Order: sequence, then C-alpha cells, then structure tokens
Amino acid sequence: MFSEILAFLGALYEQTGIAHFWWGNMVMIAVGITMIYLAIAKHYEPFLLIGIGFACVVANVPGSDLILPGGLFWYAYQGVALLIIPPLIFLGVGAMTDFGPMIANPKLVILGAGAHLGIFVALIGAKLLGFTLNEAGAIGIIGGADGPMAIFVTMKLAPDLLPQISVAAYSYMALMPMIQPPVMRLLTTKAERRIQMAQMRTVSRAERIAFPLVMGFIVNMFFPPVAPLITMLMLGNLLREVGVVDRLARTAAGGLMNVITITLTLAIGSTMSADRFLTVQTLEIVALGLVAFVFGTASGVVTAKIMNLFLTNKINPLIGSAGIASVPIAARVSHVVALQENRNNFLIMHAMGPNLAGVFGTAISGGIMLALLGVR
Amino acid sequence: MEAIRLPDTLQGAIILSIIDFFLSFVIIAGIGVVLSLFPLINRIGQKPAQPAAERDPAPTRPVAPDGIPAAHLPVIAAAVHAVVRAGHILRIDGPLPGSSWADQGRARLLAHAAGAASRARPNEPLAPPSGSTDA
Repeated sequence: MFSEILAFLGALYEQTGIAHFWWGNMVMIAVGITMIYLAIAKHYEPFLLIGIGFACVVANVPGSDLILPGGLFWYAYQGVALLIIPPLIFLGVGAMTDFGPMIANPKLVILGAGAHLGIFVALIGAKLLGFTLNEAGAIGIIGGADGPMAIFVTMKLAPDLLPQISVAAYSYMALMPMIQPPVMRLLTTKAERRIQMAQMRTVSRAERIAFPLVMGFIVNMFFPPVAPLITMLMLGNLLREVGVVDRLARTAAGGLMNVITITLTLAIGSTMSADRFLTVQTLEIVALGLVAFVFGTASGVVTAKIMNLFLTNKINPLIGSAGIASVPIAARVSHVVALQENRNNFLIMHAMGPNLAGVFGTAISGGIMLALLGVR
Repeated sequence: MEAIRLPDTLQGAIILSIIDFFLSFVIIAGIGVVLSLFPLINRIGQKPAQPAAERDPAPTRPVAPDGIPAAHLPVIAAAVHAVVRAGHILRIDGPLPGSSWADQGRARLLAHAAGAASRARPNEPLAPPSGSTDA
C-alpha cells in the first residue's frame, strides 16, 4: 500500500512543472522578466514588451496548458499563423496614422528605400551561415523593422522560423532607442544633427482622402503578394480621413487595436519556450536581426547625407534612420537625438515622412522578394 | 513558359539583394513622383480665374480717409464711447505703428486705462484718454 501511495505521488509529481524544469526555462524566464523590467523602468515599448515578457515567463513554466494545443495562447498564435492578426494590426495603424508628413514632403520618401540596406546584409549573412534562400529572405525582412510585415513574409517563406523572427523583430523594434542613437551619432557631425528643417506645407483634406485610394491601387496593382497588409493600412487611414465614420475609425484605432495587440504579444511571447528557443539557430537569427537594424539605420542616415549633396534646403540626416519603418518608434528616436543637440529642434513631424515611407519600403522589398522567390 | 528561379546559393542571395534593393528605390521614387502631383488635387472643383477684362467691377464702398470702411465707423465710435465715454470721435487711426516693446507697452497701458474706465462707476473721474483715439 505504501508503494502504491509512492507511485501515485510520483505520478502526481510528474504532472507538475517541477519535474520538467531545466536551466533553459530559468534563462527564458529571466529574459521575460527583463522585458517587463525594460517596459516598466525604461518605458521601452511597454505595449509590446509587457505582453511578450509575461507570455514568455508563462511559456517557460513546464506544464502550462495555455501554450498547448487548445490553450488560450495557442489560439492566439493561430491568429498569427493564419495571417489574420497582421492585417488587422495594419488596419489599426492606418486609423491612427496621419500620412500628412509623407504627402507634404514627397522627396523624403526615398529614405524609405534607403534605410533598408539592412534587409539585404542580413539576407546575405544568413545565406553565408547556411540557411536556405527562403529562410534567409525571411530573416532579412527583420531589417524592415515592421512586425506585421515580418510575420507575413515569414509565414510565406519559412513558417518554421516564425517564433524566432517575430521575437527578434519585435524585440529590436522595442529596443531601437538603444540601438539607433550610437549609429546615428557615429555617422553625423554635430552641425548636421543641429540642422533645422523648414515648416512643411499644409495638406488638404482632399489629398488625405485621395492618398489611401491611390496607394491601395498602386500596391494591389504592383505588389499583390503583400497587398493584404497595405490594403488594410489604407482602409484604416481612409476611415480616419473621410471624417464621416469616426466611430469606426475610433474602434479600429482604439478597442480593436488593443485587443489585437494583446493577442499578438501573447502569441509571440508564448512561442519563446526554452526548448524551442535556446538553439544556435535562434542566436544566429537574433544576431542577424541586430546586424540588419544597425545597417538599416546607417544606410538611412547615409542616404540622407547623399541627398543633402543635391538639395538647397538641407535635411537633417537624423531623419534618415526613421526610414527603417517601425512607426513611430524610429521617428521618435530621430526627434530625441536631434533634441539632445538643440532644444529648439523638433524633428518629429519631419521624421514621420520617411518613417511612414519605410512601411511602404518594407512592403515593396517584401513583395519583390516574394515575387523573385516565386511565392504568392 | 518555365519560371526562372533563383539558385539557392550565395550568388542567388546576392542577385536577389541587388535586384530587390534597386527596384525598391525605383518604385519608392515613383511613389514620390505620384505624391508630388497631389497638390493638383486641390485644383479640382476650383473655377478657372476669369480674365481681368471680364471681371465685374469691384463693388465700391465708401472708405474713410484712413482706409477704414465707412460702415465700420459707427461701430468703432460706439465701442469707443462705451469704453472711454468720449463725447465726439474726431479721428480714428489704424493700429499702432511698429512692434517694438515700447509700442506694445503703450498699447497695454491704453488697454489698461480703457478697461479701468469701463469698470468705473458713472460719477467717478475717468482716466484721461490717450493714444490713437482723440475725443
């Protein structure tokens, strides 16, 4: 009888998480707690890092049913895997975004392409490390600094790498205030960082309404592989700009966006289990993601400096780094770095132009990549 | 027609990168060109400007010698009377010339005097009117 009791207690112990806990779980729990700390103490993208960090902690408690098939986090992940969440995120982003700065200063949109060199550096780096071309393409798109686009392209090219790529993309986006400024300062002089830009023209309501219609047409016509995302972005923006469906615009930008953000962060964080994440491949992807962000930032600043050679009204090269996308984090970084040099230099609206163009730049790069790799 | 596929090699990655990077530049530049045409949208629905000869002559309004429309004179006079209790308006000038701190200071003093006058009871002596309004 005593042996039976011991057998039952043993079976009970096997069903708890303690029996399956290993040092990898400890490491990943520490990673999750660090994310939560950065969100609370340093205010690094708390809307992303709180959910990702919490789900990461839960995913590394062995025996948690939430991440198993049928669990709530597993269902949240299905929204990502089935490509439902990324377009809805873009709908909300569109409803929140004023594209006026991009419309007002069209010459700055070129920075949206210039700041994407990182995609291709990471792509070639991944190929050198032995990834397949499709996997390398998916890893490279981390450099687009656009979470939904990274998820979208990865699901098309290398679905198995989705956890690592989405975590790398969102983590680096959240950590941009740490990654970008050293690169920006290294490539610019003090005088360049102090350049004040002229006031932008006012964009009329008619232009704002025409913008999503025109861009929706262009993207669907030329880049069908990535059209779902940009189409939803433009729909959200149209809801915002027409001014007759405020209720829908508020829902897309508010309630719906919040629900989708919670779902997305839990889905991403829940994939960060130690046995799946603590691999050499993950470390390679994370390292390549960092390379992509650094090169993207650098190429954006250099593109702005090259533009200055031809412009009479000089632009502040700090806005070049905003072309990497990651709306509005990268624009905010440009603004803050400029403000540290000159307390009267408010670059945020100027940086929003290339920042928004960066979204289109990532979509275009992703669309061309999918087309060249023969994936739809 | 057989689709051309990129080789899964380093050379394939470089070809993909070069094509993608430069094509992105071209397409983004194209979007920039489209956006630079956006101000033309504002012209839609605007009436074309009529030639000068066909325009109706501008309605002539009586204008005071100082450039103030005649219709505004009684309104200004009533406002001045209400504020500084002046008996007769002899002359109305335009805004104070210059924007130096001294002019601004005078304007503020005048406004203060006028405000004090408007708050004064009927039997109280009024602050002497000064500045551009002579009463």
